[in-house]
Amino acid sequence: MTYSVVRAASNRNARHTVKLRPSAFADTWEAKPTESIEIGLRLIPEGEYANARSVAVKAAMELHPDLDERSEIWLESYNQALIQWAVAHGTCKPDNVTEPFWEMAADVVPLALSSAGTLRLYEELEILAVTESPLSPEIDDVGLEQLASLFADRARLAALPPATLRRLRRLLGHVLAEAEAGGADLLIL
Amino acid sequence: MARYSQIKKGTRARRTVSFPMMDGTVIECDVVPLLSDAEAEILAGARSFAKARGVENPGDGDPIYELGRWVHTVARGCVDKDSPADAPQPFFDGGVEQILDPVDGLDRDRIALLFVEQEHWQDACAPSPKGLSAGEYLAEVLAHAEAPEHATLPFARWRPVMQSSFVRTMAAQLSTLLKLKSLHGSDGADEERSSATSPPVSMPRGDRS
Repeated sequence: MTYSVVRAASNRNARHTVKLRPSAFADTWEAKPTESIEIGLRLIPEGEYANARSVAVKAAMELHPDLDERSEIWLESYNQALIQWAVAHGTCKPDNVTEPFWEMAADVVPLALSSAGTLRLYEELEILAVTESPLSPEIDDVGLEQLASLFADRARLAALPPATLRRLRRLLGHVLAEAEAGGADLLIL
Repeated sequence: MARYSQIKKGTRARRTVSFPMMDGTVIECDVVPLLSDAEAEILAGARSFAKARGVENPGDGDPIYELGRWVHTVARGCVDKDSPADAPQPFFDGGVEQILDPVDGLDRDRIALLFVEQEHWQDACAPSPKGLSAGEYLAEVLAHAEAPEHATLPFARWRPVMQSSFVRTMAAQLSTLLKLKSLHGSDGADEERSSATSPPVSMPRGDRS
């Protein structure tokens, strides 16, 4: 069986979707939804991703023609462009991963989404990349025990930087949702 | 990349590898060892790939050139597992363009996975090259230990069989040290005497090129 045959037979539904609340959209966006909408997520093929860096460099250079990558402001613009690019190309119709969620997504994303909404989708894409990568290592039994011990100890948790703790909680929120979706018996002892 | 005389099992030797597609379906293809004519094509393809992406003078160590090498290796080294043994057909029947298709292509991790699988099979099909002498081994250990942070280590350019061997040898030595340290307590007071009586560990074997 060749790759063409495999692709022709593949399921086009997005395996991962996210519900985005109206607050994730910019107030200035004329098509701002009034209720949550479901957006499909997809892994970005390398052939498409290869363009991301040059697009981000171009965006940063246009904004700051007198600066370069040694400047924090330039880097911030570069990162923002990269994130917007990833969100534009990593979102799709929930029933078809080959169809972008927005027409002209690269132009629409910076206008349609708030900063928080863009970051939320980017984090979802990061999680997708980790969970779907054949190279990501699975946590072992020792790691599970370490994690359980950490989250049972409020003093050790409180010692973590607040931003790290928030990110960990968000990531574990995904873990819990996956466990629930898989039918795990979630007892509170 | 092995020369013709180094391929023990011939280009028909195959190993089946499985990997999850982007939609979660697990599929299989075969990897095959490649000969030097394919190597020339791969290197030329990698140069074109990098030049097309703005790298003026592509070569070893450039990440875009390396990615090009991965893609061109995967395109040639993966074959349809249902194709006849004496007439293997490419798994990526649309070639490099298919792998890099912006809609239906592979992501970087899947490309990397297939590249590594092919490279390991390439090594498995080649005879074991000579190993390092004790002096060469120590020189390599020192070179790695003293390399500046973020520098590209010599390790990164070795064949997989050499990388495995090097890590295994260092792990065996560290393991011996840890066991001896454990026997003598954790203060390390007997470290000098312990290392002097450590059993010899064989030097890594493999081809660095």
